[in-house]
Amino acid sequence: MIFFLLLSLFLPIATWFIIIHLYVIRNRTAFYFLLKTCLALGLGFGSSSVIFFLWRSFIGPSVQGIIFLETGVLLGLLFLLSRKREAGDYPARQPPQLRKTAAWSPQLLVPPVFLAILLVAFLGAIYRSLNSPHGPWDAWAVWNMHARFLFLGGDHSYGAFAPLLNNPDYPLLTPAFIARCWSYYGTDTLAVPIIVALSFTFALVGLLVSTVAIFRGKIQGCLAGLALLGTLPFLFLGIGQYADVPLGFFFFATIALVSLQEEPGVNKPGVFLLAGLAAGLGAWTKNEGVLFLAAIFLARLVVGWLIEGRRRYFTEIRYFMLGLLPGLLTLGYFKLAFAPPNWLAGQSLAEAVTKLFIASRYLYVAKELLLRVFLNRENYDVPIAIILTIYFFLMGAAPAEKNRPIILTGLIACGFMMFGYSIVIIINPLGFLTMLPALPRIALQIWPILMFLYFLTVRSPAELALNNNL
Amino acid sequence: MTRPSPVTGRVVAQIARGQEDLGWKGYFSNRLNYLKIGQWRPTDQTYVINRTMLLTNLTRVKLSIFILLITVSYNISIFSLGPPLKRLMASGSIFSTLNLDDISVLERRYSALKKALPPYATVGYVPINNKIYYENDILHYFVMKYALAPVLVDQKQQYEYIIGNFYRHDIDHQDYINQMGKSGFQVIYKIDDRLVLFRKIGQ
Repeated sequence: MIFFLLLSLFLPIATWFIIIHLYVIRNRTAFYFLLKTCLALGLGFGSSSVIFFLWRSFIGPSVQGIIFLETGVLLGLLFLLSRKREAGDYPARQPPQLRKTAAWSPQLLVPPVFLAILLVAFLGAIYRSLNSPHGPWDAWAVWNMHARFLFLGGDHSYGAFAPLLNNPDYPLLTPAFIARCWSYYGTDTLAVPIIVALSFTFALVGLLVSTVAIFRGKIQGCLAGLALLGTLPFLFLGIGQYADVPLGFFFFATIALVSLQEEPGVNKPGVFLLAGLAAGLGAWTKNEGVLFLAAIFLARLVVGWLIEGRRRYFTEIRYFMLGLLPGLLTLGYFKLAFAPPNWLAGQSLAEAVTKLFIASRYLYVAKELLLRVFLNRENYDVPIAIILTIYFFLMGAAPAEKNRPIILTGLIACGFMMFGYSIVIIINPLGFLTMLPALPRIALQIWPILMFLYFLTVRSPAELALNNNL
Repeated sequence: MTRPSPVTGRVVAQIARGQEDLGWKGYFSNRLNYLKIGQWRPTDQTYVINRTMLLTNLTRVKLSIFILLITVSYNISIFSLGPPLKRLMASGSIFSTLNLDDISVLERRYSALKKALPPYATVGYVPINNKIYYENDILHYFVMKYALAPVLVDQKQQYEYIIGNFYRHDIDHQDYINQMGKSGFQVIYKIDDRLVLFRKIGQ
């Protein structure tokens, strides 16, 4: 039985790792390996969720067909991989890059401390999850409840249950993937939502570390991972089995993939396909994912078209749109066939527009953002935003010329997202104050992107230490 | 460039074209590209500044890394070591509260009703007096929905089966049970008198 549980997790990761390695990112350094593994986890879980939901909706609840399909795809890819090896198409392993440092430097502490903190954080996450296996309110009342109905519903379609569920309009990436794993295992064990939550949380840390390391070196990558792990609200959200961390994973994966387009060994059309897939899966995770689609289109329109050139923009957007299709079509089918209108639609357009002209609401949202997000101290932790500000003033900024389009893309996307969130809070038909407690949680969806942009901008210890000639 | 004199704080520096590094205040101005302090002497390509260097680059690196590592270590200690230490001090075991969280306890209690219900039914729900008054009432109602999946629970209508969840010990529920009896519902299953399953007679 446990074999099938492990198979349900292993199949999508292995499948997508091979796809990414064969067709998109050929590099074989340690950080590229970590990047590919983390991407494979997220894209694998997300695409499996799509397959399970569509299979269940159109064919039926039987899981044997899905197991055969996924196993067959993996075996086919393994065969292709072996053929490429025999044909010598496998790229040569790149030699490790040696970096000149002083005999002892404080930055040498960073990687071992990062690994130690990662291990302690992981053990702490497991302990907390075991003590609260159902998670906080939204976890069991929304996401895991939807998963239970998908798994236990038998021949009944999701639409039969939707009217009496909490938040039935919420997309179903995490519930469908959890239900899929339960279907493999045969029972609705609490271990599965915990494993899924921890997987996305630590895969997001790994994705950030590897992406920053590829652009700025190992030490900077480890520092980025430390900063993300040190953000306690992020860890609590991760272990809390909320869908915000998987959503943050897909947001960051989109930005990371778009950023990697100029790196050697990266197939540019493939990377935009994957970026589109990640963005589409984000929309299939939570409704905010649709806002992110608008944000990333706007960001690439400004940076890609106006700065990099129109021809290049049209090439990239074509592949991006193709990648979007699985997630977006599944979401469209779900919204049309099953989901009732979102609560935002519970007011007229005139009412919503009137609220937009109340200036005091904007000031209130900005103040709440500052207090609840950047200075959040619910658990007696030190707000990491303050430490990073001090860090920035000590280290200074040194964004490389080639990274500036990436930083601009990320800033425009995040700025648009925060603007969009603020508008939603301001026009909320349930009352202006009701959504404010959720502000830290929804702001944390873009926190990994902000960490990425921060560590692309701030000077690395190696750069500053090598200039110590004053 | 030469190190500044700690006494006079005066640095005479040879700067290559296109590069400037001006000391503590100049450090900020260099990054922000704002002010220039000191004087450029084109005759011998020298930049003269009059500020003492408070922080060398290496000191900045050490301080930055130290602050970040200490903060993150502290935060992770709160996250990972706080709860087990608390449990250890309270009960002598770090695993003493496994499966004893509120949701686990309620979920185990309410899911016992499943064996008396048809698999895909929709059932009614009443906490007391047909209304959900308090925040706790909402919690119990939602946990009931979660625990009984795929049975649907609806507190707004009357169905063939109705669950009476009389978890509040300060309210007498016997009158309500008697009223349900007069309305044609009989008790078919109960757990310690506080969790009762009614069924419409004649169904």
